[in-house]
Amino acid sequence: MSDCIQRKTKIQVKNFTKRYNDLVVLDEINFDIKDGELVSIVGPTGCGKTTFLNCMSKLTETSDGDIFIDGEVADPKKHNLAFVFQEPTALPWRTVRENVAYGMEVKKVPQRELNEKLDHILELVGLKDTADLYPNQVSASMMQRIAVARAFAVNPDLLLMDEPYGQLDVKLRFFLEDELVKLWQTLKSTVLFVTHNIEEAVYVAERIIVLTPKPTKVRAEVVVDLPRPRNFLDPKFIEIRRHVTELIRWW
Amino acid sequence: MAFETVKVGKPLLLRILPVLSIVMFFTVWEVSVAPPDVHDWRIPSTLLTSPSDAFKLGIDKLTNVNPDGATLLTHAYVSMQEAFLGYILALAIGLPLGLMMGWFSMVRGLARPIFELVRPIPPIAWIPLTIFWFGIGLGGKVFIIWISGIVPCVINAFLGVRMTNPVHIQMARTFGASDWKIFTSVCVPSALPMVFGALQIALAYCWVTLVGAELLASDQGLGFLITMGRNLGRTDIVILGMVSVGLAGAVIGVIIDRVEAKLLAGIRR
Amino acid sequence: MSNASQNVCNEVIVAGGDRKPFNIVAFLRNEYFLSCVSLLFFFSFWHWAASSHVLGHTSALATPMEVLSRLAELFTSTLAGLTMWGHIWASLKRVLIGFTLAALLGVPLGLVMALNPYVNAIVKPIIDIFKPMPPLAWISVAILWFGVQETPKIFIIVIGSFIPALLNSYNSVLLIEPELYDVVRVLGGKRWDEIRLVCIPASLPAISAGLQISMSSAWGCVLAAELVSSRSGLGYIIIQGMKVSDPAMVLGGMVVIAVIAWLISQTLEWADRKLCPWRRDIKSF
Repeated sequence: MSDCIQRKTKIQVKNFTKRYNDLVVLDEINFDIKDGELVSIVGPTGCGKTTFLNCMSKLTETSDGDIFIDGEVADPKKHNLAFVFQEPTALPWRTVRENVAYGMEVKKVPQRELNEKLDHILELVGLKDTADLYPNQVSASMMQRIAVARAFAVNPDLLLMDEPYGQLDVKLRFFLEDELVKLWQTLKSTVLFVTHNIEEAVYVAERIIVLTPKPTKVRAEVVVDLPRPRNFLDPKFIEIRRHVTELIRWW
Repeated sequence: MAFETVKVGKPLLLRILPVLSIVMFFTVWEVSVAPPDVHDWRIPSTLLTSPSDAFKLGIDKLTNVNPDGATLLTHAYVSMQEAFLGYILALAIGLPLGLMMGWFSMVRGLARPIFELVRPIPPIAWIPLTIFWFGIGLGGKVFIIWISGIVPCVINAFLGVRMTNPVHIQMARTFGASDWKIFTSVCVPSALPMVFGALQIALAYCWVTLVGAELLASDQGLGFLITMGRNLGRTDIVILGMVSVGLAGAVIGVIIDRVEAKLLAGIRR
Repeated sequence: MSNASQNVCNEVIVAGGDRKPFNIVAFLRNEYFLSCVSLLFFFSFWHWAASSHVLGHTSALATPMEVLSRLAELFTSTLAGLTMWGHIWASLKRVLIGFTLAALLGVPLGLVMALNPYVNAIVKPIIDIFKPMPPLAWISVAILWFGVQETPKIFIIVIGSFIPALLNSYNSVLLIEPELYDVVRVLGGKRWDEIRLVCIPASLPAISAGLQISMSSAWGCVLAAELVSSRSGLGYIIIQGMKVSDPAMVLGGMVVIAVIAWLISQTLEWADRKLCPWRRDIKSF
């Protein structure tokens, strides 16, 4: 959309480098993310995607360079970071409701505000009827929805998603991708979505960043300027998809 | 309900065999022991007492203080009291210590060497030392029982925390949770199954140690009953004591089971 | 390719780290440093408690140095006709005989019980009756039946080690994943193949763990039996120390007991690693 240009830059990744002794995994990665943008990152297998995300979320220290939120170095305790992992990370001993509240609990959100946001998010994601069940009583897709809901609930400055729908079947993926887009449009969070599935990336993202294999750099940035809801069979969709696939397959 | 339980019946033989087995066992036992002062092919009553005689003695000792100085119930009560005290103390100190040792490296550094020094010593070996320190009384026995119970508590709690799913910890870290918050909201609930396992194991250890401690350093209690029986040459008292110890242990085990089931009902795993 | 990091089941373990500059706070909080501090504190406290007679009369505790010198004495001179080595061997002999008997009886019986429901139905109720009875409760009966020689002690050890070995081998079979049996069946294997190829190897880790518990139980039992009535062995040393009010001897005996117990458990763990090399180590105690 053209108002992309008007939005201010929220996240800046500058000279992001990670070395393990002599092995350079990430090599001076540079890119920006605008406020409220949904960016997707695709890359071939073995491009250090896990390392990349760990460094972005500050679970691991970078060897050089850093990630800046609103100009400051990112800090999980100060900024609101959220991460949706590939595996289901619902805490088994808490109900769905308590799980979604976990992020806000850690951030010490006051109780009343917490409850309001909780109800709002549960409504949006459609978890209201199952709110009092335990994770082992609900299906795997709901576990991921819990994680996504929990991540959105803290109003994150940056929401990182690591192939959250990778382990689910196709029909469910489409449904959940739609849900993700709806959530993103309603809550206007900044989302970074990492995936191997190019179709998913083109369907969901406003911009796709393509990475190279190790040592990883940014290969290209592809803007996806299609209206929503997107159609898989639209020739422009297919063209963009083919283009991104070419970029990855070149190496 | 999301699912139904389907009952599958076991073949009749399998259901009867356990009962048959127990009945056979007691019958053989009963029949193979001769009554007192009868000498024939059967086992003399100086070596073994038949179940019926033991049972009769048990009923008698419910009220009779001879020849060991207290009724059966008094002995049982004393034993259970000691075991209970030592057990609760072991849980109260061992579980939090083990949990913290699993997560906080400072606690681990301080506590671990002392624990590793004390751990290989079988609890029974402490008896002479505690007789020096506490004499023959409640304190010494509670100390030994506490030592024997604390080892499985610490180990299980420690392992429970170490086995926490790393993804959960990472998830909490990305939200910016402090070490303490991660400990209380992720590590401790995650370790609960192992902790419950420790409850049972520690109880078994405590009970075993209790009997040993009472055999050697006591003037009351079920273990004392057994020793007294031997000293007086009364095999029937010895057998009664053994059966009582077993029964008491079984009863306590069942109680712990029930408590655990109730507590776990709230935590679905 | 650098060998700086290894990927074990999705947990990336970086073996070589970056050297961080020396930081006094980090040093003070370091685990190993604190361990040394802790040990130092422990021995100092022990020494102080012993020499200041804070626990009452003089025969309550001995300082670490006194214990060491008493131990040296015991190793060279004889007590009741045996040196310390002799006593150690006496205890060890009993433990080994009892433990081996218990293992030979318990492990196969447990396997058979788990594999054959009829044997299970007959034997399990009886085991359940005897399970809550501590082995030490049998001491009096054992002395009555067998006198005061070696037999009652071995009997107690067998009783004490039999149940853990049996229960663990029984449970180990129940824990085997059913899919493993399917693999053998699909390839045309029969019942005996199932047992030989799946049951026995898959149950080895749990059996090995059960044997370790058995062994520590055996060690406790032998001590108890020796404490009650014996003329030799480590338990005898401790009880002698108590009778003559010599805490150095008691503590010395305890130290030797602890060392031997530790050596035995290390040996068993080594055997476990050799028997079951496929087990991934959870970083444990």
